[in-house]
Amino acid sequence: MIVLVAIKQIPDPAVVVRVRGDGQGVELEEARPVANPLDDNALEAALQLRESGAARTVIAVSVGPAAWEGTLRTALAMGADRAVRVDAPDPLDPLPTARLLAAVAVREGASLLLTGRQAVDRDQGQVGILVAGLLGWGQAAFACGLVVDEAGRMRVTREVEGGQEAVVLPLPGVITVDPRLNTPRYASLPAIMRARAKPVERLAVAALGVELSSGLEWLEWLPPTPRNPGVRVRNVSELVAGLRARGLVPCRS
Amino acid sequence: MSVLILIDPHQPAWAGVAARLVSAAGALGAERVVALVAGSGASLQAERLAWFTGVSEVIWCDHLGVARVPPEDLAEHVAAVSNDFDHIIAAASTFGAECIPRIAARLGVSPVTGVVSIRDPVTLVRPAHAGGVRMVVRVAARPVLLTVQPWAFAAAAVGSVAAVVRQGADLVGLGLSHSCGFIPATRSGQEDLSMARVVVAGGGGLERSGSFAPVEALAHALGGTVGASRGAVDAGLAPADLQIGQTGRIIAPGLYVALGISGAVQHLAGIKEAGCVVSINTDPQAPMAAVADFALTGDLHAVVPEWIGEMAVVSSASLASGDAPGGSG
Repeated sequence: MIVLVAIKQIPDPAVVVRVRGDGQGVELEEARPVANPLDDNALEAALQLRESGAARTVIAVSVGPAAWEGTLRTALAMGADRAVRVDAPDPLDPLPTARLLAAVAVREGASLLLTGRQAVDRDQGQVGILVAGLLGWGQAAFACGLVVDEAGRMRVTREVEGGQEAVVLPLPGVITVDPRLNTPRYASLPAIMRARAKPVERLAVAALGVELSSGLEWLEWLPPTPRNPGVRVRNVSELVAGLRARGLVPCRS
Repeated sequence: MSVLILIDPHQPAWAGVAARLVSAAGALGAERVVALVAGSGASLQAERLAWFTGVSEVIWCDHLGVARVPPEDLAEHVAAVSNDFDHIIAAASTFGAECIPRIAARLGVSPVTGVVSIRDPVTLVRPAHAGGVRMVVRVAARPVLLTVQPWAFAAAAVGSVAAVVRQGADLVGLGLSHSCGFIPATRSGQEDLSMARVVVAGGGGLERSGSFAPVEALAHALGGTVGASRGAVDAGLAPADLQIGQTGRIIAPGLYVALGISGAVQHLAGIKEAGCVVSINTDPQAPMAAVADFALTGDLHAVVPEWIGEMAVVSSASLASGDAPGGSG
């Protein structure tokens, strides 16, 4: 089985974003680029599948500009067999991204695509499911548990409202992962050094025959709803008095 | 303008979510609102949906006795009837997240997820970067597929006239995946986090005592719903479906009490729209204290019993004097 892991490079999510002066984007220059943390969980799951013998090859794939190659090299250092970058602009909307990933999945003969349940920059949470829909593959979203059964099907535990659902997913299929699925491994220093010499294969959009338009026009970026400054209270009496003044202490009667 | 709303019959508090979807459909300018609910036993939910003011028609679909309908099968069914609609909407829940993009892919259009405000039928506002920004998008294609945050819309009223309820074609089983079990986690009777008016959440500060009891006790005293930070969930103190934050639930209660929650960016993403935020933390420098309307530096294990005691005094005093709840004091 060939497993494709879709990885997005994002600005460090620990850096607080601000809307740009012209309202046409966000200021993030100072944020160092990192892999979307949930995509690291997806890569870890793929590497575990290979180590258990269920998967033969793990291919890390990104849809983005040349500046994203460092993230793919980290994926190689973590243990991916190959890395492929589709040369595309950043940002690119989810639908064209998914079209490109679907084309790569077909081209590579992959039968499983793993990716994060969302990228924590734009928080759209669409790409994995879009790929499944485009390819007509089965899907399991929000995976917090994953094992392969004797028939080679994925047995996925899904994190949903009100509990956990167990799903059987025959391949080919797409699994989007929750951060609770695993703890991603660190790349060792020797592996990082070796990965520097490994190639990141480059694919042109034209070679995949995909249209990049999404039908979405992002008009403007707005700051979040402002919050009023708060107060520090010294004790519980002050707190309860403050809440009562705002009509927020419910009565138990 | 015709809007199709997709209902997840398995989400706890599904009816409350549905009421807000109906209202979102109204904000989209819907003249006709059709609600669709699928799965064995869905006729029960359909009968209830029919009473919401603004619903024109309810369709329920059976699926060969399958209760938890695979999203692939539902998406295929909806894609086939999509020509009749200008918009197709679902909640920004796990159900919406797995159905709406799949339908969009089958139709070759871009979906918009997590919508919190509707400017006009094709111009939508959604948060990004852990709630740090809101992005405004205009959608060119029809139908427009979107998921909406239930808390961002008022609940539609229950009227006195029921809409037409009819059984649609059975869903076709594609066999691409199937559900084979469900383990419930949420405590019974708890209000759904995404719509709760009062939420009391616990974090890493509870790890020392190893018990979520203070959170539950205060939630009970305040008539609130229990939530958790990722730290508390990872420590095994609370089930994952109570996690609030960027990769958990996004909530907008009138009162949010954070007990021993430091306030990582990812957690704050889930409470951006909370009305009044209270932080109880031993660390005065915790980010949560900086965003809180009321920040109290102290050990929650001491503060919570005192707070509950104060509440009891307040409520017995107001009972004795006949004051209104939370009265002038």
